[in-house]
Amino acid sequence: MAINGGHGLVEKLDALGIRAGKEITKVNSQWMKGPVIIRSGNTEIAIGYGMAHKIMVEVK
Amino acid sequence: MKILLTGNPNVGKSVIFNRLTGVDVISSNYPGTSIDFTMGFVSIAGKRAEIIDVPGIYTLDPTCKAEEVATEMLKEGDIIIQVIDSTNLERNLNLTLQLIQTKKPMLIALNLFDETEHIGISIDVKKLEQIIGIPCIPTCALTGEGIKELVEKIKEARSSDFVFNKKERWNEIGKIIEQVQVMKHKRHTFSEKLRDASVKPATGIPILILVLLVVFMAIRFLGENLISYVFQPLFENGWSPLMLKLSVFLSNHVVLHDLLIGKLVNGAIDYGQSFGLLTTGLFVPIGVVLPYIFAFYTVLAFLEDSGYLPRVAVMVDTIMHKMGLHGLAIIPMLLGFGCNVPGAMATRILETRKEKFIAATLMSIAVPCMALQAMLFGLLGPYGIKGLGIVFGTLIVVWFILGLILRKIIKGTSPEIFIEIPPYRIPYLKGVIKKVWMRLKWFIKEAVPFVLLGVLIANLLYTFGVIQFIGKIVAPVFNHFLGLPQEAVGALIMGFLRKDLAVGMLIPLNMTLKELIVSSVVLSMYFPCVAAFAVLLKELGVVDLLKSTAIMLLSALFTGGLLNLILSVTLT
Repeated sequence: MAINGGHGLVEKLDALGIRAGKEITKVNSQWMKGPVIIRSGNTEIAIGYGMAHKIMVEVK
Repeated sequence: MKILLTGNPNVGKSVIFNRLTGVDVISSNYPGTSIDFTMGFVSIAGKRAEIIDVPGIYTLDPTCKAEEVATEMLKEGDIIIQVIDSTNLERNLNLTLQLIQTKKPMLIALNLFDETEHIGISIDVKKLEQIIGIPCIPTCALTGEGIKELVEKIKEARSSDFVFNKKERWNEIGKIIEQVQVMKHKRHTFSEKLRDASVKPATGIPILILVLLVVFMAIRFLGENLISYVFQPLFENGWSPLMLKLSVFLSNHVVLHDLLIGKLVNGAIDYGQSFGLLTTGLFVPIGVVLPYIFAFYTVLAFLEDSGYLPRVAVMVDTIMHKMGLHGLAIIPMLLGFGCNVPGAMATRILETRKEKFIAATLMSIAVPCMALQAMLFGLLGPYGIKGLGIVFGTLIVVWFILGLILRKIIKGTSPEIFIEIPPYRIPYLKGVIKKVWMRLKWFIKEAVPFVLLGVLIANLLYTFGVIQFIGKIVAPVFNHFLGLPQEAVGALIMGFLRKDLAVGMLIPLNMTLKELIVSSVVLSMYFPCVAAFAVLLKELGVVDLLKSTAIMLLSALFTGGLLNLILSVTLT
């Protein structure tokens, strides 16, 4: 995956171990463009729809 | 000596802190609560050392206020204990490597070590110690395993001489993980299935509604039974005879008698109407409100420590955005249901001025605290859904509509949600008890004196005719616009000080259902109590608080007037 966002978002995600090249799973998302939950390793985080939009993934 | 306890959020740091110190501490499962740090003492080899629970952080490059505070605090420690979530070693080591660079003596507690087995991870602790050169102790804070070893090893804390390339931090971590951790193929556990189901909209929203229903019922059940089987009998059979004796004793001192005991109703004490310092003044906070406060905080503590709240935040995020807030704003709202004071303090977890302003204003107006609710249950309970339903329904509608309006008129931005969803954890019972006890103590210390002061002031104001005077002035607005008798003015004035007491003052007025509903709604909305107001002043600043207060008064008058109109037609 790659992150197409600004410095702030990249840093925030990096601190949680989510960074370019890492494998992530989309767990689920809320209705009406609500938050998206992603999992990386044993960490689950909820991020806004707009942030999720900036994370580019290569589907495996 | 100063020992700092640090680590990522949700790794069980506060539970370890509780285990080490035994001092009162608030420990919660959602990110952001421990922005105020907690301190305690631990004895090491006969010497007393200070131990500080630092707010949870992911990195030493601060990305938010809590992390800034934490980073500053770390500089002052003599020894650092990093608590690590062993099921999440890779992410936690990121912080470890940053801490190593501070060159402080360190110790690592590999917490939740028992859980690694369940999910098929095995960690070679000896190897890890060797590589990073810091003592590592496997712990399970919940059962207390490893805590003794941790204390014994504090004196062996040392700074690491592990060298690594800073720019390649994640690669370095990858290399360490390869050497110390083996991951077996893991099964999808029940906890994980529950984890997914409870936040997926199709199943999560019904679960949320169910949870809220259970929470509400549990609070009422606990509160009501405590009142009718413990507190009411205690007051009726234990306290009343004493008060009657005192009443006889004071019969020659009319002023003092009225102040302490109040009026006797048919020769007996009536806690709802006597209105003396030692009768109503004690009964309202202790006999009615305290049981509900206890019930509320007990249920809330379990919710907090189980890890459910961040999921609630995610599910309500979309709707909160309609009001210019994001999901995390549900936390000040929920806390506000207990008491608006901690609710107001919790607005500080929100990042922008806009969010803080909206959250604080909405909470002050439409979130009735437990003290107010307890009295409303008593006042309107007999009318069933017709009474309580209309009051609470109105508040919900006001909350939402006012939110929509505020989002439009308040300038600023509302950032997107970004929170970690921790796995479900079994709450640590001793931690829950401590937390409830701390909050009860706080209530008794802060609220009871206010109620007593309120009774005193109300008595004085009545004696000198001040309330009757104000009543005459505002009577036109009261009678025609809100449809309330002017005697209700006294209650509204008291509402500035204490809401529970204000509702208590409505009881002897024998109002109609319509009048009761309108006065309850206006009383809930027009102003938070003084205590909450003081906190809001700190959180919002003078200018914003004045704006917020104007909104409170206007919306209370408007809603009260509208309700009066509607109910005049529909309720006969």
